[in-house]
Amino acid sequence: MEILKGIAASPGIAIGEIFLLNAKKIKTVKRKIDKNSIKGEQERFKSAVSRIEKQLKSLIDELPKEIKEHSSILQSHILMLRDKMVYDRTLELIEDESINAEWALDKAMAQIKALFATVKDAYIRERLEDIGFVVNKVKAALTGAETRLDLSSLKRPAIVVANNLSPADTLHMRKENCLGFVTELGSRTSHTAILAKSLGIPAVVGVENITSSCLSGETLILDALKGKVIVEPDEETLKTYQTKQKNYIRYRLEVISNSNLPAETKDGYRIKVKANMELVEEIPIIIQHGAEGVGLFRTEFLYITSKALPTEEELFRTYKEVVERLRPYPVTIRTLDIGGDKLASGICHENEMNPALGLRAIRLCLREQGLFRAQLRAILRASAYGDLRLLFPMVSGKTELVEVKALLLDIMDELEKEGHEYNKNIKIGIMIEVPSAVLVADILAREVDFFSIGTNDLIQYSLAIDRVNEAVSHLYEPLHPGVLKMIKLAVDAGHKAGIEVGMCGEMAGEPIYIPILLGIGLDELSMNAMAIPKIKKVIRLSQQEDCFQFVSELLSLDSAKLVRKKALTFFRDNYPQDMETIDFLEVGLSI
Amino acid sequence: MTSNKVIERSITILNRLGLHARPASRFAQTASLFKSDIWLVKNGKSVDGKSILEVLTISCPSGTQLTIRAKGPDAKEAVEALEELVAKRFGEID
Repeated sequence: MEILKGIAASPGIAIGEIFLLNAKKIKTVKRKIDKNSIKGEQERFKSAVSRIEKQLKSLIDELPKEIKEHSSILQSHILMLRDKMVYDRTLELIEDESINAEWALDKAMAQIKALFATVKDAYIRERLEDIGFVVNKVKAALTGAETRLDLSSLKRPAIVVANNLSPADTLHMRKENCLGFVTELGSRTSHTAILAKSLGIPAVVGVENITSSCLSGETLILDALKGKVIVEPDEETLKTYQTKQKNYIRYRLEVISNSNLPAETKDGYRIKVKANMELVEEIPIIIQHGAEGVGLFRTEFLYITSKALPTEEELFRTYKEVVERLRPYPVTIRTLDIGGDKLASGICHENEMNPALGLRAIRLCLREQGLFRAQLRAILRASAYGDLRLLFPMVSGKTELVEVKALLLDIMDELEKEGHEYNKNIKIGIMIEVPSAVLVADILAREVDFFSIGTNDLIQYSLAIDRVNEAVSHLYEPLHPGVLKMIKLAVDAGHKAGIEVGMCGEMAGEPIYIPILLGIGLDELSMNAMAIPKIKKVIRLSQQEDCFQFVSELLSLDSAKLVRKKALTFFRDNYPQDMETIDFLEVGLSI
Repeated sequence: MTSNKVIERSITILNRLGLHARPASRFAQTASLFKSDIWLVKNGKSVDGKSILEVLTISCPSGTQLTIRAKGPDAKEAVEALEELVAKRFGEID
């Protein structure tokens, strides 16, 4: 048994026989040719290119409707094939240097490689891989070798193992008995990985030396949830994975059929379950997984990716699209939550000794008012198009909140004068993530419409643990009695003032914590969309009355260790069938 | 001589992900429909607008300002078509 690590590119679990695709490395025969053969050599190259072009075109035509959108990848391959740096350059080299087509093509490719090496953008550098696929196909055509992926000998269902697969190869697989695939090269963002995901073929890429570590016919477990492959597993491992596979399939089926069932406990407590999101592209997944809106829309992306600060118009367009596409569901948008050091442009600040405690989030925004005003204006303008709610991060006390609200009123005035529409009654909330905010939650609750508890930071600040620091990360414990008390304080203070309290940290998306959160009485949970179906299911199996009792017992325990032990026991006793899903669904399942 | 007239137009890349693979290929594809020579100019560096590879290598994240330059019999039409393509974010849902 051998376990190899890679990158999970397309989720799923496959167990089956290995089909090893031996990448026959095409050796370039370098040959000088005489003047008379130049024309003929150029013709040979041209016809090889035409052959590949034709193949790509017919593959595009054969694409089933569901994946038609991906034809653009193949289109761009055709364009590359005919690009002057490939096509014209090779023809030129054949003539100028009197060399054969293969050699000329190699030289042209080397020049492209050199050019791409100077590109800073990693994503674009990766496209070199696409050019490589195309060039290799032409080389194969020149030598008369088979240029289509040869899966003809794949008669039985099997897992394909190869050095690398081109997008064209991947599209080819859908017809065949392909249970999944493993490659040595590739990354999560390679076109091949994207295609695999659309086709629903489990895939692990970037597994070094896999082709020399296994043989056709051997058994392979492909764990494309965790990015692992196991060659020739032992009996016990095989059994474990058969169960995992069954659970995963069951889980996927459930996602489809049950994700829209309400999140209501047996005794009728209805809690709102929403999704955290960052990119517009996530909207379909969010809806498909049964979210009742977006509880946390992170807005940092546009600030990190572009060189200049995003303009109000750009922000407005994005926010408006999100609100419109999710309507009638509510969207809670969190204002910029980063430190000055993370901004790709505009504002640069000196390196801070302790960025987590430094100038970030609301503090940065209140200092850089130009930046903040533009975002608030964009948010308010977008609020005219649906149920948009405002959430301010890292508020530590009333003073900041008063300042923010004054600014907001000022901007509303401004918009009014300019004749812009916006929702005058937009709901305003704050993140509860700084311990001092918990302790003055009663005061803050009178100033806002809702709280959202950000557990990741709240735990980090309460326990004084830097989660990234390996020396102390083991002390990061959501079930520390201090943390539970913090959460309860915030919830109770909110409820006393008559406002709703939600949670949008990682804790909200993990089944084991759900009985506790129900028992504390949270009104809303917001999480990674993929976690929603399983969380809803746990909620439907719960009895809130029992959870109240359970939480009051937990709060009397005096160490994190005891709390965790009790929580696990409670979960095992009350949700036996969900125990096994915890393990594999907590990790590796990303969008 | 209209055919030698150089037409230039400034554009800004609006796509969130910039001029990545798909937009670059749309750009080169559209440019290739015209007879005129077409260049994309960024910070004084110009590349052949009809070559997907050259367009890719000037790497333009969202917000990048560029100039489209065309010279030839249909330069005006080419510049207009390309300008529209960029303004419409290459037809992508961004």
